[in-house]
Amino acid sequence: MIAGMVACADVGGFYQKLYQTPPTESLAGSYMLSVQSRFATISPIVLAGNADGSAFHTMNGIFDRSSSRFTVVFPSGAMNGTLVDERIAWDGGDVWLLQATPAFQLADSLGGNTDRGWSLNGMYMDPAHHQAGSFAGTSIVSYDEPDSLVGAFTMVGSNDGLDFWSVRGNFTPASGAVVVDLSPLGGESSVDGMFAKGTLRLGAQRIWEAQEASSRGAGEATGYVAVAIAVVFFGTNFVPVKRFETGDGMFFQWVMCSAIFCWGLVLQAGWWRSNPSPRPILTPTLTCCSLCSSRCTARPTAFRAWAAAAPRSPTAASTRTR
Amino acid sequence: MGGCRAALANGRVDAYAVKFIPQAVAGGVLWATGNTMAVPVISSIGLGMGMLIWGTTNMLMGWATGMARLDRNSASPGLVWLNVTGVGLALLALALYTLIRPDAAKEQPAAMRDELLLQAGSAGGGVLGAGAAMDARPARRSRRLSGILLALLSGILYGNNFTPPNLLLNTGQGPSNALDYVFSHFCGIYFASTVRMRACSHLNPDTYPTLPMPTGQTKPDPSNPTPNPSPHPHPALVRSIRSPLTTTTHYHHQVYMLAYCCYKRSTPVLYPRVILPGFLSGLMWAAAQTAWFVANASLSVAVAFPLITSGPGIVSSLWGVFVFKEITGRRNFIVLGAAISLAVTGCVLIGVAKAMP
Repeated sequence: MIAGMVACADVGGFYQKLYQTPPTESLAGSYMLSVQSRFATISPIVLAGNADGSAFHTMNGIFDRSSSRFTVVFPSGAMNGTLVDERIAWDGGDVWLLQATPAFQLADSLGGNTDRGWSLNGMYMDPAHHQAGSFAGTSIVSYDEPDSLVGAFTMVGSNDGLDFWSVRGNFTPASGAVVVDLSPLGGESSVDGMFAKGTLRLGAQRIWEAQEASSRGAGEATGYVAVAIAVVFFGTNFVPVKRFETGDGMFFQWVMCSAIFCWGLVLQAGWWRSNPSPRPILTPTLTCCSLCSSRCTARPTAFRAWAAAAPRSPTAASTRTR
Repeated sequence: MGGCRAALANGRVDAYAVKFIPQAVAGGVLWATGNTMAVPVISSIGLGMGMLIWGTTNMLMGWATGMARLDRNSASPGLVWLNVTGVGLALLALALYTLIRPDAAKEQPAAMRDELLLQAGSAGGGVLGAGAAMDARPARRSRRLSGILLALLSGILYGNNFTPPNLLLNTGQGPSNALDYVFSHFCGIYFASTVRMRACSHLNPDTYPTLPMPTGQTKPDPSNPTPNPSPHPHPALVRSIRSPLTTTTHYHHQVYMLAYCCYKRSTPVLYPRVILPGFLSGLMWAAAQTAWFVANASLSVAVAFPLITSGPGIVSSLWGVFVFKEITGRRNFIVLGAAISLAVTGCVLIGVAKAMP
C-alpha cells in the first residue's frame, strides 16, 4: 500500500465544481487541494479557492484514506464528501471534478489594471515552472480569515502539476511585505517577500505572477485545433493506400485496424499526461511498438508462408483477379 | 495490486491505471454497427447516394444531440440561428459532392479505382474497405428502399457513437478528460466486429452468396443450410457481392483474419505492400477520431459534428484534384468549387456562431 501511495501522486490537485450551466467566472467553484501527510491514514488537508465566484478563502479539513472520505470546514459549516475516481461527491449534493488540464486560459493581470485589482488572493503562475496546458507552476493564494483582505494567508500550488503543496504566510498591505513559512517545502521557516503590481516575490528567486483566468481561449482553442486535426486526417487517411492494390480490402482493413488498436493502446498508456518521470511514458510505448511490429511483420509473413503452402482453391482464385 | 488499489483510492491520475469505460465501449459498438451497414447500402443504392444519406443523417443526428443537450454538455453552441444556417450550408455541400463524377475515361490501376478519394473517407463515416463494393450497380426498387432505410439507420448510429461516453463525461460520472474514453471506444469497435464476424462466419461460402446482415437481424440458423434468402438482383452481381460478404467492414483482428482465411479456403489474399500505408492510414483515422473526442468536449457536439463531418470532404477533394487528378473537367470543377465554398462558409458561420455570446 505504502509503495503505491509513494509511486503515484496524491489526492491533491485542482478541483472545480460541476455546474449545470457554465458560470461566467471561469475560476468559479475551483479549489486547489493539498494533503499535509502522504502516509497518515487520516491526514489534514488544506484547500484554497472560491465558491461560485466569491472571494478566495482558505478551508481546512481532513482526508481519511481508509474510507476515502473528506471532512472539510466550509464557511457554512462542516461537510463530508467521498472521493470516487476523479471526483469528490459532497454529501450536500455538489460534485467537484479533478481537473487534469486547465479548462481556462491564464493571462498576467498586468499590475492590477484589471478586475482582479491589487488583491493578493487569487490565482498565480510561476513562469519558471509553468507548462502550458497543465497546472505545473500554478498556485492559488487565499486569506485564512473569511472576508479578510489582510493578514494570514495560505498558498496552495504545484511545481509539476501532480504534487500539490501548501505554505502559509502573512501579508501587510500597507508596505506590501510578505512573510512566508517555507518549511513544508524544506525551506526556511521565515522567508521575506514582496507583493507589488501583481507580482509576488518570495525570497531571492521565486517569482509568482498574478493571473486572470478567461474561459474563452484554452478550452476553445484546443477544440478548434482538434477539429483541424480531425478534418485533415479524416480527409487524408485513405491517401497512403490510394495507389496500392488492396483487393477486397480485407487485409487492408486488418492492417488499418491493428494500427487503430495500437493507437488506442498508446493513448491508454497515458503518454499525453504530464508525467514527472519518463519511465511511465517509455515502457508502454516500447511495449506497444514491439506489439505493432510483431503484428505487422511477423504475422503477415507467417500467413503468407502458410498461404503459399496451402493448395489454391478455385473459389479463391476467381474472387479477385482483375 | 496494493499499489494499484491505492492509486484508485487516491483518485489521482496514474499512468498505468486502466480506464475501461463500458459506456464508451457501447459508443464503439454503435459505430461498428453503423459501419457494418456500409456494404449492403452501397450495393443496393450506390456509394454516392449512400454517402449522402448516412453523411447527412450522421451530421444532423450528432448536431441535434448537441442542440438538445442530450449529452449534457454545458458548452454552448452560441448563436442558434447562425449555427443552424451554417449546418444547412454544410448539408448542401454534402449533397453537391455526390454530383461529382469520377473520370470515366481514366483507368485507375488501384483497387479503389472506381472510388473517389473524396468519397472514401469523407462525411465522418468510416467506410473502411468499402472499395470492394464499388462495382455494384443500382438495384431494384424494393432493395433501394431497404438500402435507404439502412443508410438512415447507419447515419443515426454514427451520429450517436459519442453520446454514451459524452453523457458520462459531461455529468461528471467518469474521467474528466475525453482522452480517457478513446481506448474503450476502440475496444467496443473491435468487440462488436468480432461478434458480428462470428455471426457471419456461420455462412457457408460455397452456398449462394448472401449479403452481410445488419445488426438486429438474426444469425443464420446453422441447422438450416440455406442461408438467409436475401433478394438477389442479378447473376452478374454475384461475383461483386461475394467479396462484400467477406469485406463487411467489421473491424480487424487475428480472429477475423483467421475466419477470413477459413473462408478463403486457406488461400487468403494478402497484400504485403499495403502493410505500411495501411498502418499509416489506421493511425490517421485513430488520430482523427481521438481529436473528435477532444473537440466534442471543448466545443460541444453541436459545433464539432458539423465541422468534422463537412471538413474532410474538402481536404480529400483537394487531394483528388491536385495530387491524384481524379477530378477533372469543367463541370466537376464548378460543382466542387460550389461545394467547397458552401462547406467553408457553413463552417465559418458555425464558428462565428460559437464565438457569439
